[in-house]
Amino acid sequence: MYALGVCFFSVAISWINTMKNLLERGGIDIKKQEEENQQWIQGKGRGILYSFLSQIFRDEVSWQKVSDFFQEENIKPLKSVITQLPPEKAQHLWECLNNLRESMGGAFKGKEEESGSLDLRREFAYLFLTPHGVYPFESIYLGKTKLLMDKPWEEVRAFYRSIGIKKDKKEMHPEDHIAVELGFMASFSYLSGDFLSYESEEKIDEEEKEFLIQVQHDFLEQHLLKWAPGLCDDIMAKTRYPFYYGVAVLTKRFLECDLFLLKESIKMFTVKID
Amino acid sequence: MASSAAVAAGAAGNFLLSGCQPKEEKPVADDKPQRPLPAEPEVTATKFNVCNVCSANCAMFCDIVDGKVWRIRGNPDDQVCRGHLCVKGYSSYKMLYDPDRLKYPMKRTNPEKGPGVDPGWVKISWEEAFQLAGEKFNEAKEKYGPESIVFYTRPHDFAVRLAKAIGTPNLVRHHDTCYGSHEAVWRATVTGKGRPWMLDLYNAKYILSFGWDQPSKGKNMSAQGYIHALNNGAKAVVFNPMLTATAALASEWIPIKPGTDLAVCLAMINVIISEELYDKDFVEKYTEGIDQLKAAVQQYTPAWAEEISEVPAATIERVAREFATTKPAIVPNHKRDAGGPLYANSWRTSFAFVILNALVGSIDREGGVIFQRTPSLKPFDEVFPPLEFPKARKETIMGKEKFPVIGPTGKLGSVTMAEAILNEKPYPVKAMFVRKQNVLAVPDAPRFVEALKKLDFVAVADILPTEIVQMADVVFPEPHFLETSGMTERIYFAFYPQIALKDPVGDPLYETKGYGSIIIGIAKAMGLGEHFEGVSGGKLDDERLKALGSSMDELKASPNGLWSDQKPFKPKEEFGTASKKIEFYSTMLKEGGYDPMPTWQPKRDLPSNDYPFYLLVTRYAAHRMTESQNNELVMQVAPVNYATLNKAIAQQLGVKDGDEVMVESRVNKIKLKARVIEGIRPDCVSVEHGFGHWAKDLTRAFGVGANEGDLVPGFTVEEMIALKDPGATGCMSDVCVKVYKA
Amino acid sequence: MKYAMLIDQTKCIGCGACTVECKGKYEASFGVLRTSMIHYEIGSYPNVKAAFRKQACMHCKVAACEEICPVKAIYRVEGENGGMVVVDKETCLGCGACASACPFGVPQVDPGAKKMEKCSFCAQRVVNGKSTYCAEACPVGAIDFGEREKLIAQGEERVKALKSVGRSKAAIYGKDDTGVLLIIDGDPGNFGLVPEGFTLSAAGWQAINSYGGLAVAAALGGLGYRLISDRLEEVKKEKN
Repeated sequence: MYALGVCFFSVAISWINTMKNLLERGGIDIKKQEEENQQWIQGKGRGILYSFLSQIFRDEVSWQKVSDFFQEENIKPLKSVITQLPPEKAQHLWECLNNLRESMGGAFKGKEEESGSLDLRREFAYLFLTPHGVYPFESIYLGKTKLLMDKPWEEVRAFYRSIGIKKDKKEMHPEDHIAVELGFMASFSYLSGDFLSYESEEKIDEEEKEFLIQVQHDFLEQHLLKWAPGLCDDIMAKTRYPFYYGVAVLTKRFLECDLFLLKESIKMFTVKID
Repeated sequence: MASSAAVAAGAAGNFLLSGCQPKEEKPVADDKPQRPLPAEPEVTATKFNVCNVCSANCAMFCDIVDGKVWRIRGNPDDQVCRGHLCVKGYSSYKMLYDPDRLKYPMKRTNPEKGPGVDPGWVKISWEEAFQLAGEKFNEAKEKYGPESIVFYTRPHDFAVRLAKAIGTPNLVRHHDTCYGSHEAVWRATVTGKGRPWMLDLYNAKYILSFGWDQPSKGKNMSAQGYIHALNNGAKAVVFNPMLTATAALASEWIPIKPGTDLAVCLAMINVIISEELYDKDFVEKYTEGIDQLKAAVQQYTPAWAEEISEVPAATIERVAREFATTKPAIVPNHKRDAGGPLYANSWRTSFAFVILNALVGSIDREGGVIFQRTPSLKPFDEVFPPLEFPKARKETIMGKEKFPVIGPTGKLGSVTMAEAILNEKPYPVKAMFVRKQNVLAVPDAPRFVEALKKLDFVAVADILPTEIVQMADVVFPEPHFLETSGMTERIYFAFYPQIALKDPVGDPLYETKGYGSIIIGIAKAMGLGEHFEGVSGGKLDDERLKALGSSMDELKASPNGLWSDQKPFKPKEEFGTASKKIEFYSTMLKEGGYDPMPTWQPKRDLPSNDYPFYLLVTRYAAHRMTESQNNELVMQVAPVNYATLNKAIAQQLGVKDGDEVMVESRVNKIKLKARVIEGIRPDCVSVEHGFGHWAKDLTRAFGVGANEGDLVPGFTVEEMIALKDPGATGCMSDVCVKVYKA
Repeated sequence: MKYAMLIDQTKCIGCGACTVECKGKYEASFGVLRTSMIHYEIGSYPNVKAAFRKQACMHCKVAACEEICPVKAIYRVEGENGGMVVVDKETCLGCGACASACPFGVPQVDPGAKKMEKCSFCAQRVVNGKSTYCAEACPVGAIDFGEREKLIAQGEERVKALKSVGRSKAAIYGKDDTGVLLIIDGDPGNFGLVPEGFTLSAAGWQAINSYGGLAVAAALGGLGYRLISDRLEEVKKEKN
């Protein structure tokens, strides 16, 4: 369900036909992945978390949205991502998730749902729509002018373009908005997960595999990790609600962990190919 | 590149350490091949648009590089801009990318309002925003009558129709702070309608300015015209208490005492008439009342004027003679000059400008003040015939019905608005719709904030989260002008009718809606949708163009984005007054109960022991009112405003350049850094307008400088009536101040 | 230099159109302007005159910055349309020696990029036969761009015209020394300009160069010297 929300990237040029097929499949055939035997990287769990975070940054949260996220069907694949991490990292990430779940309870429990979500709605506007909070754009964090669509935005666009994709027309946010960047990662996580789950059945090109992983790795390293941790720090400093504090901690921690996972699987690629 | 740098660095290391190295042995990057220059970006598209920073509406080309505005250029075929923009226009695109912009409709959840109070915004849908505004406006209408809803907006057909449909007569206008005095005077003495906008400085040979300072303000067509005239050998004489750029470039600067321009003008009129230097042909054919005028100004001798203005009588005489005998000559006027709404006597000064221009035959003649030749656009009500409107109450909060000259134009009310709301006179105001206006723009801004607090509901349409947005209950985010489409006629300089196309530079950022759609949305939510059946901005433009024998499609296809009807300029033979002539003795003023001829009257506030300085208000060329202080580019050129003082007086006060000083008037005080110069009268302190933003949401503008408007007293409609100003204007710098170290 | 700019102070309204147009086209930190406006006053009230000067690189015939740069990051663009003095950002150390040497106080070290920033005469445009951004932007025609010889002739005409209306101090500045020509109405010193003919002889530059290291150190003080040597160390390390 989260995948549908984030597949807003459309293929601009068909440099690789299978790419398009994969993208269309991304996130739809999630169920098939459930039994998958994870060899290097868990695509679905990562995709679920990326798309959840993307949505949190994109728009106001509702009780429904968050409680849906914490359903077993989502948590299970997430767990298998966490098990791929070294124990210390795994525990830390797990704590982040638990903290967020608890803060969610705090934000809604004991109040009428409406009032609980009004607080969070107010906080969303305070944090993301007015300058009291943060500007969730890479351009602001890494650019010189502190304006939108500065150099970093051009670079993000160039990155997307280099792999043959561009933003969908329906997407209102610029390409370097945190929700769009996390959405990009979500899409590619699903893709890589998808492709891994079919690995034994459909002989997918090794190069494509490596490409998908490499793209995510590069995007994290060249873009998200360059500014999102700073954004998360700012959210932690500015938010008045444990929920967004929890989101920021989780995002920051998860991005670090994910880079680790991606690096690991790139190593595996290298070993395999060798 | 890294390697060459390292090679060079290694070598330079030796160079530094040895300390004595002959030049030829400097083994630096001498032999390296030509180094590459940065690449010039490739323009991927060029769009036509019209600058909306100021009302000059210069036509421009927007060069787009890969989805982003890279450069804005002036359209060479546009009569106003002639291929060049001003500093404001060139930097306007930065506001498009301002992350502080309003992004979604929002509603307030914190009922408490005021500076520094977090409104507790919540993002809402457009639907919800319209519903909310509809409900609240209807509530005010039902409980307190339609007149309890006030529109504080700039003139716009859609908004006027909505106000009429609601049945409120209260459309408050800012012109009383802007050019109401000129408007009233031209209306009463020349046009029977509004004032002219076009100054044909290009052809002028003698430019006589009384506080007219458009070139310093970077106003495009006037700056270009002024410099063009000077290059062509025109003489410019500038009366201004401060040595502004206009004054500095002029042939002569005369540091006149503030608010005494009227005395000098009257004496000059006297000299020109008594020495019979005026254009007899023009005066005889096109004016009325020269004999009455002659009699009336006899008392105003240059010696008399010298005493008031400190301008030597001989200078007054000489300049008057030069002005009358060098043709074409012009007394330019636009907005905030000595005849603008600065002083209680400004309207009389404006009247004197009309007379001086008429005496030298410079009204609607080349090199003079010209009525812009605009296309006859089909009126809104003809394109979209209105339904019947409810009968609105006659009495308005602006006192429109009490000002016989300016009242019918509706161009008044912002100066007296705060008091009207606070005193509930003539009746309570409960709700307000605001667009493109700010708290800081009116006199005594803190008082206006109090008035806004008193209202039950305030809806604001804007681009940036300005001070008035902080006072709003619901905000409607509008697109930046570069994101909008449509067309604009040429007004500020038009020898012939010309229309410029607006074509958006790209997809809009954020969920904004155009002003027209916002008005229609509110109307529908109020159950008044039938008044806007089939109405749209696109259709209006298209119908208007069709009536001119063109169409939107044709305009879009034009190679320069312009529609022009280049008929030759024919000077007017008749004017719009009852006598069809320029009236030196104005019957409209007489009937309205005002002086029919300009007689001497001092400004309202004069220096005292308590408040010894005149306040002057100036403007940075780079800034547009209170709208541009969040612009990243503009703020690098003009980052803050100052209290500018004369060096000698600063020494007396113990103030050095850069020291913080307090400037205090009888209503408020502000803190500013001092700028100490020679080119200002010692009895004056000058402050640039536009600063002093208290909205924290304007991250670049917040807390920078101070608002000089805080120092200026506001007043009630009754006090305005007592001023006997046919323009009902705001005395925007008619106040005296004291200055001391902070 | 084949091309020049003629900046006419007697036309300049000081609006800053050139400043913003330039700033929007070249990347530099907030407040670091390649061209800016300086307001000058001559005399004292009420006998006071005022004028603006566009403060930007003058593209000197013999450029102190070019001569003093310890790593030759400052160089002249080659080619028929070249001759302007530009900075090679890759090579520049951001030491600020050029800033201390420039007789006009033009170069600035961008605190963000730690590189010298100054007007490049829009070299990438001019070599391709285009005008500079500032000249194209100026609404009142106070900045003319064109072939040097033609501009000098035009400037001389202008000076003649100004003198004929009593502006006896009107003069053209930079004919012999700088790539950018100014029309001023007063003494150069009134507008923060060094007297004309400031160009040092070759021997003069030699003398400065022979004490180059000391000159830099002296000009910037101990700090400057450390700054340069520290940066050189860094570069060395980067190389290894």
